[in-house]
Amino acid sequence: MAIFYDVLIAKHNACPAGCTICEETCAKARNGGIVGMIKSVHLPLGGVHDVVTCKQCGEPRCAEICPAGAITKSENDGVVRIDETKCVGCRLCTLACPYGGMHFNPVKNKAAKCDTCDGTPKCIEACPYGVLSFGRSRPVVNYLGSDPVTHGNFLCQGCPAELTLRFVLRVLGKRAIVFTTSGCATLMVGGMGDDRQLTNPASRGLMPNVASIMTGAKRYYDRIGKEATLVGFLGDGALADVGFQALSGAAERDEKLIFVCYDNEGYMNTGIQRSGTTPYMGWTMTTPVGKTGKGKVEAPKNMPLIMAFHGVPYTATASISFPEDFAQKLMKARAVKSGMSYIHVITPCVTGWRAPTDSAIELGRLCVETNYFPLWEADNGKFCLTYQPKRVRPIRDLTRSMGRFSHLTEAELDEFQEIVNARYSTIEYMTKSEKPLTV
Amino acid sequence: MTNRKHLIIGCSAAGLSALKSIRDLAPEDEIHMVTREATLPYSPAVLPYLISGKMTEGNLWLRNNDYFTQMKTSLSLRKEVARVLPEEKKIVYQEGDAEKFDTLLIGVGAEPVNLPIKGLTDSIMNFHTFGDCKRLTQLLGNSNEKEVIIYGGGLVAVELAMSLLERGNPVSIVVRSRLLRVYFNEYVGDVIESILLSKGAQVYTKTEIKEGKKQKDKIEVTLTNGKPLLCDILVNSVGVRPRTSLVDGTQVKTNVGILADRRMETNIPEIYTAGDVAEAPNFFSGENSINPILPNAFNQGRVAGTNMAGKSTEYEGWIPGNILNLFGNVACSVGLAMPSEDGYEVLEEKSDAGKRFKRLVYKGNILQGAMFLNVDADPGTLRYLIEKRVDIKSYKEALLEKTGEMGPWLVARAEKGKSKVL
Repeated sequence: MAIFYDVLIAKHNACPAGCTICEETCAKARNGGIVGMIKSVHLPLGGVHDVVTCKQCGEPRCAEICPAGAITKSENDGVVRIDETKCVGCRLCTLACPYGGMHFNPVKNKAAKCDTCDGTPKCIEACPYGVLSFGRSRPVVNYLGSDPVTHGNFLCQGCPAELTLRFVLRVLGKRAIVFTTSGCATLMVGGMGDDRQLTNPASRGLMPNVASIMTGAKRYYDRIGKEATLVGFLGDGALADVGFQALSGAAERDEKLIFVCYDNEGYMNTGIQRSGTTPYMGWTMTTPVGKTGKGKVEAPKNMPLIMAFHGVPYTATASISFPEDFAQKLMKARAVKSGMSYIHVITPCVTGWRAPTDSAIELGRLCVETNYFPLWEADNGKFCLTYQPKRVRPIRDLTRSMGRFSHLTEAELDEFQEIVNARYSTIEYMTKSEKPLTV
Repeated sequence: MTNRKHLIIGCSAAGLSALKSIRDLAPEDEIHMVTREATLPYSPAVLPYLISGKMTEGNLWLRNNDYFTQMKTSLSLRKEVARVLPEEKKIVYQEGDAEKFDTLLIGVGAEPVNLPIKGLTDSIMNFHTFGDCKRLTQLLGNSNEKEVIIYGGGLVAVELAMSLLERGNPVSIVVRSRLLRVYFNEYVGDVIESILLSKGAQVYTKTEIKEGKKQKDKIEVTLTNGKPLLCDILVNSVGVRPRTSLVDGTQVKTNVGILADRRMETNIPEIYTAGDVAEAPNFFSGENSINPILPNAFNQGRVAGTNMAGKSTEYEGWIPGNILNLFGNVACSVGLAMPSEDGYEVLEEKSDAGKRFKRLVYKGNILQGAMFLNVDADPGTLRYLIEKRVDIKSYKEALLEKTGEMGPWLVARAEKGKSKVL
């Protein structure tokens, strides 16, 4: 069930003295003038001029107490409604509601309450003073469950990888089983040793074998008929490099696993060493910049595209700077039953990329909006861009926000821009196909 | 962490509330729910409305089988527990089979109190369960000719009387003291009596049934004042008491009901109790007592279930609260509406002509109780002010004057800062 829904909002104590337009409108429109389901509260001595109505509680006490089972909260729109065919008029609900949101229609002899007029509240239309409005919640918050990570873990200040894991598990749920390995994620799961940092069940393997471990575990659950969501949360080092063989094999075998790769473009946990996804010309400790060194010499591998070309049912790129998009992709990944889903998440490591500790989210946005890291998905071969910036920003906006590219000359920056453009064209090209691509 | 097995005896408000709490907190634990009832769960509170036809049998069931499947709970109907064996962490059923548990919730509710009437042993029927209700429906038949005497003057008695009157049956109520003595004062009680009389009921107060006998199809009773009454159906509704038989004589401590601490746990670890059978701490004094109403069953079930699942929580204590809709007249009492001790400030307003009554009971600046009849008031807001011990300070009179507006406003004010949304 979602957490936040659209909701009626009233400005606090902002009604003109004595005004009852909303109440009268409601009464007339919904109950033949008998009773309004929004109440004006006027207490001149206290200077109070306000409105009161149902809060559509998350755990409605009226629904809990109704002995006739007449009150229910809809999963769709979160509205708490009374089924008049079941209401016997016992009024226990008025005893349960602490907010004064439950009313009674004496003619029908049944309880009555605000139901937001199913999304277009008449009171809002009628209020000439702008006191009432209808707040629409961002759908992404509807995906979020409780926080799975306990406090006090050991990651760098401003780490987006931790935020990513939190988000992934909040969407996938507290029953998802997490698999990870050495790298930054190991700290999120087990602290500096064997502490328990996650409330989800979790297991750590070695870098080369996590995909194999997950294969065995998932097959076992399937054999005993138990539904289980297994998610591998590993870095680019473990998935694109050291553990690629096992991952590739699992993909080819259509193992029903979810992989989320937090790509911080380096072996960051061990002190910022280059990996297969470290960008061309990017500085790391093992691709230093100096008299002869100019950062990484090789081009990075396009890991998400490689996984898409395994032909797995679902591949996507994502960023927590775009939570709506990310949540939808995680839901798609979870829905896949025929094989592997792989989500590659750009994870701006502020320590390794040499950026201010409060800039990770902004960096994520910049990665996407410069087309450095386009957001796309391949759903059974159908490629599409899930987000397109209204105005594409120059790559210099990204490079100047961090230190690992500070050695680039103007000519090199131009070259970088061309590389970004070219790589983006490739992805764009894939999306142009009318039919899903068979690889 | 190994999965635990929770056994819940009773499938009504307390049990269902506990079930939800346990499932929320312990998704993998095993839950077995057993009830002596033969049907899916229902609330006894709506049974009078089955009689009047306001409620139909199809709508009665509060949960269906899908719900229990979803909650991964096995529900066993027609399974009455004969005995609890606390030392062995086992229960024994009527049929003789036994079942072990890790935690147990005893939510078996209450049973009707039967005042013995000389000469009538098996002619008196109860009105407590769905089975009782079906029997009454059968006896009433299709017409409204059957005359009914209701013995008792509590809320069930009055609601049943109302339903029968709506049906058109002749109704008499015999009550030892006066109507709704526990919930309302004499003023309100008298108004309620007059309403029933105006609808054609006969009401005999301050009297009991001394003896009775069967006269062919009819039942004849004689009141203590000597007055004879004739009826077709005699319904016993003098009261209920906790159904403690399954623990009587065991190590589980009882008084009137099964004693519960602030965690709704009995004196035996891992054995909990909630609802009409439980004798739990009172909100005001902290002393244990019985208060068998629906909201208490829910709250106690929630607390018990939470503790059973391993997460610690405490019960704030029960607050009385009852509401009656009698032919469009609304009577409600919450909290300590009729304090017997000193130290309370009682503010009242009444209008004889309008059959209106309002009372607020304060201790210092904090609302302790409220009672009203036919006024614009949101009882839930007053319950909130009582429960949260809100300091009402300069608004005590205003709350009496304009209860319908002050109530929600004071609640919103107390909640201020938590939410700007309506």
